Parts: sequence; C-alpha cells; structure tokens
Amino acid sequence: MRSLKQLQSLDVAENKITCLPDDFGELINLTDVTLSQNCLEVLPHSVGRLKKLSILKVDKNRLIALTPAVGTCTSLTELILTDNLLQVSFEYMYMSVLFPTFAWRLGVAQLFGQSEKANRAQRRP
Amino acid sequence: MPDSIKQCKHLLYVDLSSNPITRIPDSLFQLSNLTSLGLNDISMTSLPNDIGQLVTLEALEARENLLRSLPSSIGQLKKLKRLDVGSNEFETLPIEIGCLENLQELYVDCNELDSLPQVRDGLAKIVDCIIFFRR
Repeated sequence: MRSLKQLQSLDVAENKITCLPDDFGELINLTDVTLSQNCLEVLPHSVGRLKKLSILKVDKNRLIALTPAVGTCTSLTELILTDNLLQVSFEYMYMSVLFPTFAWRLGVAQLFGQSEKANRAQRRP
Repeated sequence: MPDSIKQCKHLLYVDLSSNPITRIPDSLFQLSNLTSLGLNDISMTSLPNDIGQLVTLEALEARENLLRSLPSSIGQLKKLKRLDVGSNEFETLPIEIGCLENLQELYVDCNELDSLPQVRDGLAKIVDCIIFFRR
C-alpha cells in the first residue's frame, strides 16, 4: 500500500472485494474512493486516517456496520451507503463483528447485571 | 451510523437508502451543512421533529417507507428544493408544507391522500409536482 501513497482517486467498483487491507489508511492522499458493488462487510479502522477523503461511495455492498473511525475523516462531503445491511445501533454490532469475544463478554456482563438487579430486587423486604 | 459521524461537519450529501436502519440516526441531526439526505426504503415509520434542525437541506428523499405524517417542523426547511415522500402512507400533509418557499419539486405519489392542505402564499416556486389521490 505504501507504494501508492500519492494516489488521490481509487475506483474499484463492480468487483468481488470482501475486505480491504488493514493498511488502507496509509493512502493518505486519497480524496475520492469508490467501492460500489462489491462484497464488503466492514471498512478497516484505518480509513479514519484519510484526512483528505472527500467522497466515499460504498453503495451496494454487505456492510453490516460502519467503523466509528469514519468520524475522523473530517474532509468528507459525500457519504454514499445505499443498499447495504446497516442498522442504527451498529456500533455494538461493529464490535461484535471485529471482536466476537468482546461482544460475547459484554452480552454476558449485561445478562449478569440484569440477574444481579433482579436478585437485589427480590432480596428487598 | 456511528455517533462519531457528527464530527464530519463538512458532509453535504448522505445517502442511507435501502438499509434496514428503520430510523434516522440522531448523529445526523448535528450535520449542520447537509444539503442532501437520502432515506428511501429504510422501513422508517416516522420522521422525527428534529428534521427541522437540518435547515441547510435542499433535497430530502424518503420514498418507500411507512410514514403516516410529516412533522410540522418540516416548514423550517426553508432551503428545500426537492421533497420526495412518494410511496408512503400519508392521509394528510401538514399545513406547514406551505412554508417551503423554495420548493421546486414535490412528490407525494402512491399515498392515501384525499385532500391537500390550504396553502395561501407558499409553494410559489413549484415547477414539478406529482400527487396521486386515493380513489
């Protein structure tokens, strides 16, 4: 990826890409990225390093979550996410995709917390 | 959407159409420069009153949802040129739609409308309007 550091525009639409390399964020001069019509489920966290990124098109993929790192792409003017599998509460989902163990623990912790509360309620006179 | 999207203050155009997202993520209401928002086919049952905060919006698309009404705050979107809410479940439109003085295109086809609100001075710039009435 580092050898492409001068790249400003990348269009890989209509392919069968399932994931981007983790060091995608090394392409710090990218301003336009078109990933339309591929098979992406997530974007790498490093996308947040693309401070010059203005246009990001990820329509017609299989995104189930959007990395919160997108929030640091502060030059973004167009964000096209049409036709994916996104839901509102997907920060948690994002964690569960990338860190299934974490999500499992979190789930257990929540369950445990609820049963603790229920126990406490029962214990009350 | 991740909450962090509110940090992308330069966002002009966001399209979330055709996702099972069901409602507008709260973080979007903080995008103070947004001019175009696509919310077609997201299984949305209501448009929150907060939509009125997006005063820079010029185009709002919310076709193919389950909307029964528009919030009165829609009238605050003074820059809106295009409003597409076709294929929903509207029986009426709010009178505030008459406040959209820059509206050029209004699409409310394929709904349950049997009348239109009384609009006295507004909608002066309409050039294209599609309304189908219930039979």
